[in-house]
Amino acid sequence: MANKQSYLGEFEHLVLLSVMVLGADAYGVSIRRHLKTVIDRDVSIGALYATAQRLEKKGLITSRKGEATPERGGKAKRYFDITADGVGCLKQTRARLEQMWERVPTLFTLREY
Amino acid sequence: MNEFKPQPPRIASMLLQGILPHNVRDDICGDLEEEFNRYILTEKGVVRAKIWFWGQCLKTCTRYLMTTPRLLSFLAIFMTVLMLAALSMSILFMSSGIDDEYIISQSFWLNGRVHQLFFEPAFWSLASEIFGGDFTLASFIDVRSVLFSMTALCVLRRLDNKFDYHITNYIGLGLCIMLAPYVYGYVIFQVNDLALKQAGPLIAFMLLPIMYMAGPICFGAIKKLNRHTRFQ
Repeated sequence: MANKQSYLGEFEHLVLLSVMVLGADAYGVSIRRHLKTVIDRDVSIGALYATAQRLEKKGLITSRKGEATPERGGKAKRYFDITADGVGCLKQTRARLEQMWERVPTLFTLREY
Repeated sequence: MNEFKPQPPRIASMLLQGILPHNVRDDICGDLEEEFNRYILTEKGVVRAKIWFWGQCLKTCTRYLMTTPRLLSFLAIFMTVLMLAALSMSILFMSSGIDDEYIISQSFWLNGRVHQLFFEPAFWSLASEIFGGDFTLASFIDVRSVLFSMTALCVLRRLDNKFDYHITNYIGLGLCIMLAPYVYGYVIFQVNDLALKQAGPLIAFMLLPIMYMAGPICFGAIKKLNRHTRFQ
């Protein structure tokens, strides 16, 4: 039976991919910069943390406190790590998206829309 | 040598500190400060970097202020204050002896439908006269209502401690207890043919417990809502 939690929203998908790509250096600033550089998307920090909390609740990522630096006003970073479930969920989402794209015959057909 | 280093706007930082929930406060404030110091200052310059920080601050604060629990809490407080103001006005009207023939001649004083008072434009037009007149705290004290309210609130608290009600059940039960004297008064008016002189104390008993209990029940509901949100 379809489980609602197994589906990733578009922004969840992007955040999860960023966490996976950035590896051990995935935290608020680096994820925001990554999304801006790669897909030119300005993401509000509030939206990012709300999504990260949701992903953590789903068990797709974990978070841990990092070091505090002077340029952060002495506040510690919060690093995110992807879990095995998170990787599985990304693979599943990719497979589903590819299945959907396979049903679009050619780019020429797409242009007609 | 001490080099001058621009800092993020202090008021914006304080706003973030005050509004953000504790579980993300340090993370978000730290991230914004780091981004400001490490990237934005060099990319945009001091003035535009400060504008950027303010923009981020307002966007983030709005997001966290407009969460459903906060809006519901605000709505509950707003409704309670409105209700208390309306009830205070009705109590003061009754105790002030303002002779407004039109309102005094209305049938709702003798048939128990006292709530109809609040739908009378003539009553609201007397607001400045009612609140501007002399009144004492004694106008708001009725021993029977105090005793009922205290007992009812204790019972509600004990029941809640025992059964740990869901917020909707708590509000439902609270409203039932709060409105019980009103329903009781209405039934008494329907069963008995009361004179205006006898009606006064009964109307006070119908309205005052609502005044006494609205605040504590609202507070209890907000506390429950916050706890429910924290554990979600």
